[in-house]
Amino acid sequence: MNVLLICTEMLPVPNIRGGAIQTYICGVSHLLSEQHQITIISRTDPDLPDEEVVNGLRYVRIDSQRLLDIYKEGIVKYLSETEEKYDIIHIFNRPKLVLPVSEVAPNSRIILSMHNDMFKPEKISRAEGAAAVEKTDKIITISKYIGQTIVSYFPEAEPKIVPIYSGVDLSRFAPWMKSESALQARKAIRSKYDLGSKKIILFVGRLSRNKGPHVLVKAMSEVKSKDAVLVIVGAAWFSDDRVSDYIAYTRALADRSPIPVITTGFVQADEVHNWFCAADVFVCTSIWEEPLARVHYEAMAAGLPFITTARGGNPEIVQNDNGYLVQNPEDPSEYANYLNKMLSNLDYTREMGLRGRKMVEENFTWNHVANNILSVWESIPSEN
Amino acid sequence: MHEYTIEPWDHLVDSATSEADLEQYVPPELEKMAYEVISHYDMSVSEMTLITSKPDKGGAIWKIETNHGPRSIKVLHRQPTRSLFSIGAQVYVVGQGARVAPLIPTKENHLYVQAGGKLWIVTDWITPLEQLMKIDLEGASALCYGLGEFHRHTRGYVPPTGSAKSSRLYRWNQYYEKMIQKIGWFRDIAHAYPETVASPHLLSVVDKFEQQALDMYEKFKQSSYRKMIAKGEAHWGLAHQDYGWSNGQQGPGGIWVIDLDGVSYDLPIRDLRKIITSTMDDMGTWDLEWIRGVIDAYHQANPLDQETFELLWIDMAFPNEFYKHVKEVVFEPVNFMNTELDAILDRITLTESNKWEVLSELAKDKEKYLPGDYSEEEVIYDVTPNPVVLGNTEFKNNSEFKKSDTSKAQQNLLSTFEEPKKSKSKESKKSETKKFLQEPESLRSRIQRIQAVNSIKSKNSSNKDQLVDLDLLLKSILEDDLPKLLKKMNEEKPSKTLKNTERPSSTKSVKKRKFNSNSEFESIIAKVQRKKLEHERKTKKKK
Repeated sequence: MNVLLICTEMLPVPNIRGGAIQTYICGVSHLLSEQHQITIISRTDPDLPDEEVVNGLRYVRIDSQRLLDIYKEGIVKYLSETEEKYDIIHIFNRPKLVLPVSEVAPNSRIILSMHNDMFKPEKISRAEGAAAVEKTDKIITISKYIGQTIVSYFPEAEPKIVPIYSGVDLSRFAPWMKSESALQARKAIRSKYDLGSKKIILFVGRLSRNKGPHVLVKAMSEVKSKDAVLVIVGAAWFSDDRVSDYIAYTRALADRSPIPVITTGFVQADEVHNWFCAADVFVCTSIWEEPLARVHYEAMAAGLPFITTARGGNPEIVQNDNGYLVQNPEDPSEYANYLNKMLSNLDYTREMGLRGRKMVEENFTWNHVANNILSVWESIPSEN
Repeated sequence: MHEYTIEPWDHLVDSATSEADLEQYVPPELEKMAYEVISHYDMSVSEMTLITSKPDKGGAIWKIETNHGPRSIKVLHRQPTRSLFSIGAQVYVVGQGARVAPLIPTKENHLYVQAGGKLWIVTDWITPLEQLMKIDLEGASALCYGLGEFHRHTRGYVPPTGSAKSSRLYRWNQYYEKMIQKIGWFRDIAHAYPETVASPHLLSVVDKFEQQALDMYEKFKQSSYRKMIAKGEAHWGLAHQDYGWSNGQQGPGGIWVIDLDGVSYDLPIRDLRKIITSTMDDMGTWDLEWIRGVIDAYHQANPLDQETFELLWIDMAFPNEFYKHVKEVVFEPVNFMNTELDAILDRITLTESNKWEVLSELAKDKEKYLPGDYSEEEVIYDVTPNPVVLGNTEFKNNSEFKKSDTSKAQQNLLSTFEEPKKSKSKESKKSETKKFLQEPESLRSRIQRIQAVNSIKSKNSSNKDQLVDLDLLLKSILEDDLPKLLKKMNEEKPSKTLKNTERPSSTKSVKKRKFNSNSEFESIIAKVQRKKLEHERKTKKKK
């Protein structure tokens, strides 16, 4: 089949600027292109040509200025001018693109992949949302939770929903107990940051209230293990830009924490895995209804046991004793209890991590994701 | 234009320069750029005076003396797409007759210039403008009357294509949740820094304010907020977000509103609430008479309904001023708690002493207002297909702009000396409607002219008429036929749209309007139509 993937207006594909959806598309597109002819539309980027073919994948980049309206116009123009006949147009996370795209490409089947709660009333009107659901053949969701939110607004969407979990690159993320390169990475980064044999509690993500790392900082007051350290990857206490009040608050708490709290600043996407190799416990502190954070897959792939929160899709990933679920993500004591349990018995903790690794190998590689997408594509009857 | 990119210059603060000094300074490159921007305009400038600057954000405004009289040139500090939203709003409200300075077009008929990564605008310097007496009830009432007028004129705004929409309308929950959360932060910080001077003081009051916020949040959740916001952004229009004695000033014909940079969709009474609670904070006590006075004045210009009044009350009851003055504690906790915080808390506690007495008395006023009509549940957020279209896109027809320029001047003249709009009776509506039916041709040309005030016609989007057939829209939504309709609206020529529009909307708008004494309850579309009709009638009379 001839298939068009449409990324969001925010960042380009390949994921040279990061982005969860861009990473996802990169993870699966080369596998999908083994079976079908694939074109990927994403936004323009000064470091990428507006059109290119790389390894059999055709990239088309359309100016967006990070605005959906501008991007939409460009896509409609592209579709109305192209000679290509797409059997499937697979739109990522922008239900608002469904109507304009289906109008200009009435013979293509439309698949939607939902990574966030973009069907909520603030994001799309009742009328347009319903019309978008109607025009879509299948709606792939990043977690069961996201599927449920869509059904809660648009009950008629239910038979179209197909949850497909995300994936991770096993060649990059590996448990240091099992992989020589991971062990080297662990040693290197620990020595660079002078962390010796400290027990590293790892948080990866933005410093924002929704992501909740302040609760973890507060929990440090109750952590018993004196050789623990909390590492916050991806953000900095001090930056050139204005420090948000949230960062200031978290920093003020960290300054008085009995356990050292360090921030790494921004870490390039292709270097983040080093921190997963270096850590002992991973913690996801989402306070908001997270669709299902990618970091869980990455932690598990690196053989890290984790603590996550009972918010959004996160609980769906806690299986087979691979981690713990915090019921109230605003309660530092819940984190501290699990951390004390895990840090006082590292052998058992590591076994938990290896169970998570096994789960990833069996369910959450890009191969799994690509195969699941293929079966969705192939299940829908072709118009032609 | 050369390559200078405007960046904040607050790093230039040192021991020799205070922050106040810096607001009287711009980098020489920026000033040079201002002259380059000026060269795009058909004016000669004899004098240029920096009025103020935003060193931390990279914005500035100058007063210039030109051969067309005094004007201002301003570089907007926000992202260009965000600034475009505000520029669109300014164009729109001027077209609606608000007392806001119109944007002066460039020689190439653009309404703004992009330079240094920011947008620049030029307007007339309105003279004379006078700041009203602060706190004095008479001045405050005039200020709030002007605010109501401004809000009324923002209703129906649809931002230009390519602009980044700014909206706080749907975010009141988040705003309150954040406030509650942050009051919790204050407690955490006070606990973490027990040795500081104000720590015990903060701990002794934080529970009380947190409880107030929680109680009011419960009340908010029971309010009509959900139903109200379902009316959509264009229905409510814009809040200024920084309105006060300096941004609303007495000038020719009434209050002139300046500095529209920060406008966003919101329940506009947020502006009124800020004026009230911050003034109570200034006074050091809650003054019922003052509050009643300014709410009444506002109501005269932009009528409140019961639901809106209740929300205003709830918003006032939140511990806004405690939150506003203490939130700084997170940045330098030790310094702030050892120096300023103790006195701040003393003052807030004193002001607080009669707040609840006044609020419970004020709550009785709810009966003075009519209940609003929030029965329609359907949300129509952004299908209105008539965004403001600005210059600087594609200019196919320059003469069109010139035409609009004259009509703009004319319209301003009218609106400036216009009496505040009185509510129309059913009868007068009917006669307007008749006129509408009888004279579609003249109306169309009228509308086109008015439209040209708001928009420079370029692509098909600007050809879309401001009239939208609401009933047809609803019907098509019910029949799941929206895409077709949208397409149709895009394709239709103005004349065709008019024809289709006249029948259902005119009859329906008369029948539906149960609360016709109160403009609050009109659909935006009906309102836009009414305004045009009024305008047309006036123009006719003149002739």
